[in-house]
Parts: sequence; C-alpha cells; structure tokens
Amino acid sequence: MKKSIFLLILAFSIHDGFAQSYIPEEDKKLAESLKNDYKDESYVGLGSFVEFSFELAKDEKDTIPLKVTQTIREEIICLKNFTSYVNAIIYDDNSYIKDITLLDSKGKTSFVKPIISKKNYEENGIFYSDSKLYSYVFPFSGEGAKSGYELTKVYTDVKYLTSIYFHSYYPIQKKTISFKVPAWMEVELREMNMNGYSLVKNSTVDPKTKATTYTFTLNELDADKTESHAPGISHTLPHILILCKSYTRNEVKYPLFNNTADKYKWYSGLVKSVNNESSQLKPLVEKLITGKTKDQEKIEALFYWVQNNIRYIAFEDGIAGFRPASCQKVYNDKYGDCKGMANLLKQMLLIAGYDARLTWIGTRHIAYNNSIPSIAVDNHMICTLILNGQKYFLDPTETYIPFGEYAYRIQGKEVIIEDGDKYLLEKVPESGKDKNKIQEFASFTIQQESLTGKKSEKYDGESKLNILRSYSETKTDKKEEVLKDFIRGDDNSVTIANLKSSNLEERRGALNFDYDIILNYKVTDIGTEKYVSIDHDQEFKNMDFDSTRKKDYLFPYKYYLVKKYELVIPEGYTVKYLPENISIVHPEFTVKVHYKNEGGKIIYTKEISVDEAVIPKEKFKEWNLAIAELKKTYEDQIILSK
Amino acid sequence: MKKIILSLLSLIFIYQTYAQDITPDEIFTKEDPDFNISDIPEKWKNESAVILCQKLIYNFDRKNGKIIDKEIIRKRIKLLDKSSINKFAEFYFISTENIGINIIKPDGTLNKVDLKAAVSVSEEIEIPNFYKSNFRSKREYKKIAIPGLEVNDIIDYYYNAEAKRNLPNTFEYIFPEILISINNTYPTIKQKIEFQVEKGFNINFKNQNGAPDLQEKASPVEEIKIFYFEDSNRDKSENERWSYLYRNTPTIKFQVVYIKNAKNSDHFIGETGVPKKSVSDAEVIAKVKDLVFFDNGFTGKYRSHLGNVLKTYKKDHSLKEVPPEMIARQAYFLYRHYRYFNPEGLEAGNNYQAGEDILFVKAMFNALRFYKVDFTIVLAPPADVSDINDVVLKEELMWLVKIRDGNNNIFLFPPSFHTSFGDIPEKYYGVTAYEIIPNQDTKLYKAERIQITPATPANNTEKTSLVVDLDADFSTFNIKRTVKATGIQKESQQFMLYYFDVAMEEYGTYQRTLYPYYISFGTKDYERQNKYIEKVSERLQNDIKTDFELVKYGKYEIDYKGRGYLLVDDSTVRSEKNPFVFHDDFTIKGLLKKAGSNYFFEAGKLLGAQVEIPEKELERKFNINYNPRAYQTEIKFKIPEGYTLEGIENLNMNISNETGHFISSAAIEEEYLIIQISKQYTHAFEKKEDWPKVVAFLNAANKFTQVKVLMKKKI
Repeated sequence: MKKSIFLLILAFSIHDGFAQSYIPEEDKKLAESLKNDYKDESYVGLGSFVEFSFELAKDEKDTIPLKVTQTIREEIICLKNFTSYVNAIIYDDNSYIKDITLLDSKGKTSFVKPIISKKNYEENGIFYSDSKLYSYVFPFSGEGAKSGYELTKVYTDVKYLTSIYFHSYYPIQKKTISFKVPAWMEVELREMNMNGYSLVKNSTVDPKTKATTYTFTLNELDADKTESHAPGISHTLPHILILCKSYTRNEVKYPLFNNTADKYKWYSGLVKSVNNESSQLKPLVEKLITGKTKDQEKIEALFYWVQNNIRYIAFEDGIAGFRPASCQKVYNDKYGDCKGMANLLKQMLLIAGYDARLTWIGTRHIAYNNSIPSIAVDNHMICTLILNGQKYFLDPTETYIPFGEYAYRIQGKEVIIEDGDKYLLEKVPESGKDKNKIQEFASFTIQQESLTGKKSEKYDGESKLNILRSYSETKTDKKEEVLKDFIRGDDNSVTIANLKSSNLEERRGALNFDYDIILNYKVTDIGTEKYVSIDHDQEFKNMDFDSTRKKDYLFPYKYYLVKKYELVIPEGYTVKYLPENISIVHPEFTVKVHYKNEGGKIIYTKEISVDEAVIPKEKFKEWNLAIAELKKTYEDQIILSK
Repeated sequence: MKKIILSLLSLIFIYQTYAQDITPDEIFTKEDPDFNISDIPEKWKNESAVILCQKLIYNFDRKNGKIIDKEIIRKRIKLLDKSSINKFAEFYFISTENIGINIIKPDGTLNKVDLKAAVSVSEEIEIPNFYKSNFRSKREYKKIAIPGLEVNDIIDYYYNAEAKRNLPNTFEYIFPEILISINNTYPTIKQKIEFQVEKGFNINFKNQNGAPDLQEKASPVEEIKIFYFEDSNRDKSENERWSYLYRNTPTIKFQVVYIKNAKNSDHFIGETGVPKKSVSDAEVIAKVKDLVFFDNGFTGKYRSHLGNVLKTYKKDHSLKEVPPEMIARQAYFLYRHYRYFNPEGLEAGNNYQAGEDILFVKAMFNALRFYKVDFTIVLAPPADVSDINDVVLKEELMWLVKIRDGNNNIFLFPPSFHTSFGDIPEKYYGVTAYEIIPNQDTKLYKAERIQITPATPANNTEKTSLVVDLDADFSTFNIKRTVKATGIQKESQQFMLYYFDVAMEEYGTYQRTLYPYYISFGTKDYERQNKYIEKVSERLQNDIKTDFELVKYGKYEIDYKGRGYLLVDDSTVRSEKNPFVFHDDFTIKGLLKKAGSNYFFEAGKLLGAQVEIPEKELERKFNINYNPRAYQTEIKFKIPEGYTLEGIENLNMNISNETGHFISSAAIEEEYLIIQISKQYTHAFEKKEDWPKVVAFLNAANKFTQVKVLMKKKI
C-alpha cells in the first residue's frame, strides 16, 4: 500500500566552484533583513508557484488517456555564503520528471545546470519500492544571490495525484498553488488544515476555453522541520486534496474516483484479479485446527500461525502496492507485506469455515476518513472476521497481538470491509490506557549504601508487545543478557539476580518479571542521618519539551504506569523528612507521587499516564510544569534519623 | 625514480565480467563431504546460527593483458532462531550472475531460490557486515527476500564474483592487503580458505594467534598454484573492551602482488609462486637501501631551501654551527611545509604514492645525511596489528627516523598539521621495531631491534582544574575549566586545533627565506576557520552534555604554548615539551538536590562520567591493552555563604594496586571545598587474570561519582 512519501533532503553543500558574481545592493539588504527573521536558515523561498494542468490524450485509445502536468517555479534567495540549494522530488511508475531548468536572478533561463541525481528511494523499513528520488542541487554565488528553477513533473495516472502541500523544509514567503481545470474535467479541491492560515483564493474562467483556474495562496510560511514523535503531516500542515472525479470526452463521462464506492470498485477489482489457490493451504489449516472445538481456539491458531511464521517485508512496487500477493505465494515464501498477510489469513479462515474479508484502513498516521474518495486515505490492509454478527479486526503484521485486541495505530480508524460489490464501513474499537498498564512493586531494606530487595513488574497490552517482539528477535545466546539489560535500564549501578519471567511467548494475560534487586549508591550516611533516594528509574525525568518544538508529541500507545515501593525503616531510625507529594491531573495526562510513613515502612507510590497517547502542543506548558515537579521530587531525598 | 603503483584507493574497475566457468549447480552437486554436514555439536545448540562449512577461494590471474581476481564463496549455515531468520531472509550479495542459493529444510527437501526477483541496493544503504566482501571496500550489491525460510533450515549459497582490469603499463599490480580474524560472526564447524595464484604472482601470508598455516596442494592447471588452509571447530568472534582483535584472536594476513621489478617495490617480495611467510633483517636493509639510499629524490629545492633556512637561523642566533637537533627540527617542519602548504609539493616525490612515511624518511635521510646529523631509520608495526616477528606485509610497517638528543632517542614520525617534533602516534608507543643503522658504505648497513619509547602514566597526563561557583538561584553552577594534556592525551585533544596558527608561523618563516610561495588567507579560509571553531565548540559541549545538564556554554580558548614550532626554541614561549592547554567556561545544573531544608550537593559528579564495567564484562577472555595514563583533577568549590558541608569524608578514597589507582581526598580550605583526584592506568598491558584489579580502581572512580555531600544551612 502506498504510504505518503516525503522529500528526502540531503544536507549537502558545495563551497567552491562558482566565482562570485554581481549581487545587487538591494538583494544583499533583503537577505540581511530576512536573516533577522530566519536566523538558522541558509535560504528562503521568495516565491513558489505550482501549477497543475490537465490534458487528454490526442488518441482516444491511448493507454494513458489523461495526464496531469505539475510545473513548479521557485525563486530562492541565499542567506549564507557558501551555500548550495538542495531539493528533491519523488517519482514512481505512475509519474516522471520531464524537465528542470535553472533561472537566474531575473527569472530567465540560466546557463548553469543543476546537479541531478536519480536513485531508488529506499524508505526505512520498505524492502523494495518503485519510488525514485530525483534530487537537484545548485550553488548560490553568495549571500543575497537570487536563483530559481522550473521543474516539470507529469502524472500518467491521476489516481496517484492525491494532494499538494504548501510548506517546504525552508521558509517560503509566498506559495501559490493553482489548478487549470478544463471544462471536461471534474475535480474537487478540498482545503485541509487551513485553520490559523490566511488562505487567499481566487478563480477565473477563460472565456475561450471555459477552463477554470483555481488559485490558492499562503504567505509567510515557516520552514517545516522534522520533529520526532510528531503526527503525520496530513494532520497538521495546510494542503489541498486533489480529488479527480471524472472526465468527459466526446460527451462520454469517464468516472474516476467520484466517491468511495468508485475507489472500492477499483480496490476490489485488484483483489479479484489475485490468483488465490487456497487448496494449497488446506493441509496446514486442517493441521492447525484439528482437535480444537471452540471458534476462538481455531481462529487464534490460524491468526497466530500467520503472525509467527510470515515475516513482514514491505513492497511498494507499482500496482503491486495495491494488489495483494496470492495466498499460496505468501504461504510458500513465508514473507509478505500487509496485503499479502491479510489475504493469506483471510483464505485460511475461509478454509476453516469462517466469514473473513479483506479490509482497507489508514493508520492513525493519516488524518483522513472515507468521506474522501482517494487512495491517500488508506495505507494498510488487515482482515476482518465476522463471527456471530460481531466484527473482529485481525492485523497479522502485529506480531504477538492477541485475538480481539487492536494496536493503537489502527484504533478508532475507519475501515472499508469487502462485501461483494458493496463495502461495509466500520471503525476499529478503541481501548483505554488500562489495557497497557505497567505495574511495579518492590520492597527494599537498607544495606549500607544500597537498597536491597525484591521487585516485580507486570506489563500488559502494547507495553508487553514490544518486550515480546524484541525478545523473540534476539539471538538465542544473547536473550538472557538482553532481558537483564532491559530490566536494569542500562543502569550499571543496578544489580539483579534470580530473574524469573512468565512465558515470553504467551499472548494472553500480563507479562511478569520477579527478581532480586540491589540499587547501589542510593543511601548516603551523614552523621546520624540516612538520605535515601528511592526511585531509580525516574521515568519521564527529561521528557520536557523545549520551546522550539512546534508539533504535538505522540506516544506509541496510551501509556499508564503504576508503581508502589516499600522501604523498611531500619531499626533505631525514624522518618525525619519525606519529599512533597504531587498530584497533577489533566484530561491528557496524570502525574501523581505519594510518600507515606506507615507501619514501620515508607510507602512510595507513583502514577503516570498519558491518556490519549498524545501531549498536544497547547498543553506543553502544563506538561513541562508537571515534569518540573516530578524532577524536583526525584531529586529530593527521604531523610531518616537516629 | 618515478613509479606508479595503484594504491588500494585508486583501484578503478575498468570493466567487470562474470566468470561462468563453474555454475552454482555444479558446485552444489560436487562431492565435498564437508558441505554435507547438517548437524551441529551440542555446545552450539543455543547459538543463533552455526556455519556448518564455508569455503572462500580467492583467485588471482593474468590473461591477455588483464588482471583478474575472483572471489568464490560458498557458505552453508544452519539457522537456529528468529534472529538469524530475520538476518538471512533479507539476503545481500555482490552483484554477480554466477550465484545460487539453496534452502535445505530439516526433512532434506531442497528449495532453489529464484534470483530473478533480486534488486540493486542503493549506494547509501549500509550492507550488513556478514555479506560484505573481505576483499573489496566498494562494489555493487544486490538483495533478495529469501522465501520460505524457517528455523532449523539450512541456507547454502555460492557465488563467484570476478573483476578484470587492464594491466597497467608498469606491469605491476598490487592487490589490497587483507587482515582478518578467522573467528566469524557465528561459530564455524569447518572453514577452508584457498588462494589460487598465477605462478608469476607473489603472495605474502602470515598466520598468528593460532590460525592455521598455509599449505600447497596440487593444481589441475599448470599456470595456477593453489595454497590453502583448513580450520575447524572455531568459536564465534567476540570482541572485548580494550583488546586488540588481531593480536588476540586467530588472524591471517595476506596480499598478492604482481610485480616485475621487486627491487623498486616497497613490498617485501619473495619468490614468485611461493608464499612468503617472513621478512628477514637483510630484506629490510635491502628495502631501505633501495628506497632511500639509492634514491636521490630530495636533493633539489627541498634541500637548498633547507640550506637557506639553516643559514638564516645561524645568522639570527649568531651561531657558528646549527646544533644537530635543530637541523633535524628544521628538516622536519620544512618537510611538513612542503607536504601541506606548498602547492608544488615535493618536487621529486610528487608521483610517489606508495606511502607518506617512506617519502618522509627519504626527505629526512637526504637532509640529515647532507648535514651530517646522526640518525637511524626505524620500521615499526602498530601495536594492535602485529608483533615485529610476524610482520610480512609492507603495510604493517611505519617508516620513521630516530635521532639522538643527548641520552634520549627522538623518534620522528611523518608529521601532520598538529604534530609536534618527536610526537609518537598512539599505537606505536613501546613497540619493538627494526632499526636500520645507515653507513656511508651501504654494505655496512646494520639491522637491530629497538623499542620505541614506551608510554607511561608520567608521559601521558591530563590535568583538569575546575573552579566551581554556585549561583544565587541554588540551581546552576558556573564552572571555569582548564585542561592540560601531555603525550597521547595531548594528541587526543588536538582536534581543537586549526591549521591557521601553523600556516601563519610558516608564512613568517619561509617567506623570509625567499621561497616564492607564500600563504594568504581569503574570506573563505576565515569562514572555514569560523565553522571549525563552531564545530569544536559543539563537540566540547556534547562532551559536557554526556556528563552534565548543560545550561550554557561560554567559549574555549587554546593556549598555544604547547605547540612545537620551527624556529622558536624558547620553551617559555612555545615548545612541544609544554602541555596542550585549553580553558573554557560553562554553566550546568542538576547537581543540587533538595534534602529536606538542606541540599545534597553531588560533588562526585563533577569528576564527569567514568568508565563503567557492566556485569557482563566482569569475566575477561583476552588480555588488556590500553594506554597508560594519569588523570589529575582539582575541584575548587566555593561554599555558599551561610552554609557548611557535611559528609565530605565520603569523598576520600584510595584504591591502589599494581594495575593502577583511584585516589581522592577532600578538604575545606577557608570558604572552599578542595577535592584532589588522581586516577591512573599504570601499564600498556595487563594480563586478563589481573582484570579484577583494574575493575577495582575503575569501580572506585564510579563510586566516587555517586558521592553526595550535605550542604547544611548554618544555624
């Protein structure tokens, strides 16, 4: 399934090679003033104009009946000496780069040629993709130098032209996107994420051709910088969705994706063309379900077999990016992408007599729902099982996930379930933070400068999945070491022994660890007093957001930690001081820390949750205050005195 | 004498073809009982994978004016867990058509992998080490998703990758030298390495640390000689902190060369077609004679320029004679000037690309001999690669010059921008080397053994002084730091230097000697220098960040007194004998913790993070190699008014044994807390049995960083 692909920008600069050419004084002044606004930037786009035009093939029988040409024309001013402009654009089997020319400071074609490179675009985690990266580089002659370029890209299949964004990785003063829509072309241009932006719109009709030109302009756009754990760009950045609905030729209307039904028709057509020979799976299915009587047992046997035995390898190769590989191929290869794995599971469930269907979904990374008839809505495929009127969503790429539980990345997302010529729209159920609860309990006594005791940890839901996955993929001879390292959290002042864990292959129930623990250097004796620092993990201690962060912070799932430690007060000592308690509760997160002196013990409890798996940027201030409080208590000490 | 020898880096593949002489199918069906192994010994049952058998053939040939090499690899590996499945399910290989991959299921079923689906791998993608060619650094690779792979499967693959290139006009071709440990990523039941060498080629080979020796076997083709070794039951490769892989694990080194005139080569050439397994003193002497004595490369501009420099020096210092040590010093720095600042380079040596070190020795030889300064030529192997007695490749030896200054030896290694006169690179301290004592009569050259000055804690020191002030906000600490480093510690700090100071100095010196080239800096140079300063500052900040919560970094300043220079011989101004010194200042937080109404001051943390030995490293397989060195730190903390410190006795530590020590003491002097810390690694080498002693003082240092003192409000 096609994922949105972002430009890969390589930090690259050429220092030498171009002699200083004349730079007008006013351009130098402009650069100087822009430097005040954009301190860290090497260049700024003064104007960026993108135009889309639609063209029918001359010959009606042409294999490419409709083409879209995208022309990008940009003027850039350099703010730093010894800088080269670097940019890149993706193309694939359904598009190509037709041309690029450089423009001089007056916007005229320059004699200088950009340095072009074309390579396979290998996105992390994708084994093979038809995407290619077309990168173009040219040097500036110095600070204040203006240069530009004009690039033409042609889409040979409009399905793959889904959206256009305004932002770039450098600031742009004026960005205009226009669409020259002929009268024979029906296209919807949907404005997305325009809140907080002053969009200037315009449309004009050419009286001769009746073509309408729609223009969208945004000014003063900051650079869009990559930030870790940020939402997908479709959630945040302003863009135009391009929904090509139909075109008319010789009074015949040719539908494109007018609505989701049209899209489903195309999807299901691709699925129908898959040559599944499910008879090859029969012996396996029979073997797996033999002796099992309950539905859940049988379904689990099949679902888990695919999880355990089919390796996820992503392919995004042209049409194969949308058509599943046949069930027998995935079965024999023992690998497949999400579509191949979903299709295999579906066929296995069908053999076992269940109602199983392929299902298209966009993960939470994508902001859209199915009110948008576009392939940009979906980036994943799963399998839906309908049992006793209830729908279960099975995602075999989620290794170790139990039947009936759903990964956060698909929770709450709309799905299209195949249903013959029609389709069903449903939503994947959401679950609360309790599902992913991490619980820790420890009891300590003081032994000189150390805290010694027993500790147990309990992981549930997605907090558990990550451990099971990493463990299963670790070399056998390193498993024990890696597990210990995980528990110690890379803190060499922690010693653990007698580690016992529950079954690290078991999907159901919580994962438990029990072990003996020594926390070294946690007790300081000064005079008649003992100073004790009890929480060695100090979760979230450095999780405050700095003022430069602009995007929400996403957690991989709804986080929930509950901790209870007990410290036996040594004989002859009394509690002189306990750090202050904290109780900060917001709808988005909770931070609570509590100390109590009870029955000869100090009881320390802590609760941290991120209830919706996101800290929105509007809440960064409150979050940072909570982290500051947390830090304060981590740095404080319990004081015992004789 | 001008020679062109293709170096490793300039290997240009004129074109490649792929040998089709033996197909994978023929290989797989060929009777080789070693490749019938399917079972693994009990002791390796818990491994991720086991190499059942591997055969690596390196073929070097010459035909129709072409030099041809082939890398013919067959590996049969049993995959025992998911980790190895993941690794081999995405399989990489050198781009070749002559490849076959078979998967053997536990029931014996054999599945041939269809390689049509293989795709090219982009250059930027890092190829997993396991698949990388031992033989070439850069080649095209392909990858394929291997179908049907399951635990307990055997993957059996074979490929033959061939490269051809035109034989250079010089009729010489040097293949890259290979140095490999024969411990593999996975334990290995059987491995065979074979060199098939055209009989006119030379091969150098040496096994060390228990790796098997090379044997010859009958060849079916008259023109080709076959040498091989077999090895079995080999544990997987494991590397440890502070150990030299090639000195501790079974290692082989080899190189093939095709050369017409061995005399002019800097390689040690044996009899053609016979592996050369050692180098004699006589050969080393002969190399020195051939490459240095009989070469008149440096009698031109370099020496006349040196003459001018010495004349000026004599005049400036009103001397009758320039002392020999000063002649050597001038020769050394003038050589550096020619290599780095003179666009014409060394007039006679421009085309000589064999090695910077030999070029340097040639220059020094000509200068010192002309001015009658006593010297010897030294050839030394780096400590992490080989013992002098195991040297067999020219790449293992560094050429240098030794002079004497009174009773002291001064070893002159090829200079770089930042080296001082007499600097010894880290890996050459204390190694035993050849010393060739030249004589006007070349017949009387002698070869002796000499030890390069060993490193000691006394000549590798780092002294740090921290003056620490707590802000009135009781949160941030302002620190002024001074670091003084000598020896290897000095080398490691010299990344801070930019070449401007050297260039400016030389501008002043050599322009006076009327040398036509002079240095001038343009805007670009200053931009680059500023960028460099930013980079250094960034690196210093990152270093601080690994130890502390950095709030603000001020700036750093280098004290240039520690730079060894040309004409300045006043050690109060500048001298290589002075330490490298820099000062900086920064603000940190996070060292003060509330403890009721008082504060905990994490005084120990001011020492900075110390080496931690995790539990899994407590057992030691190999002996320990590191640099002997001594760290001294003085921390001066101003106690805030109205407060006293309690518990400073916890900062006193003393763990001392023959491998090293960690000693610290704290005292209150007026309004200051003064902490003195000394940490020392005493020797360059410790036996693995003594590892607990090393761990003892390392642990003490760690424990020190955890010590807190109580800052109590005066009542």
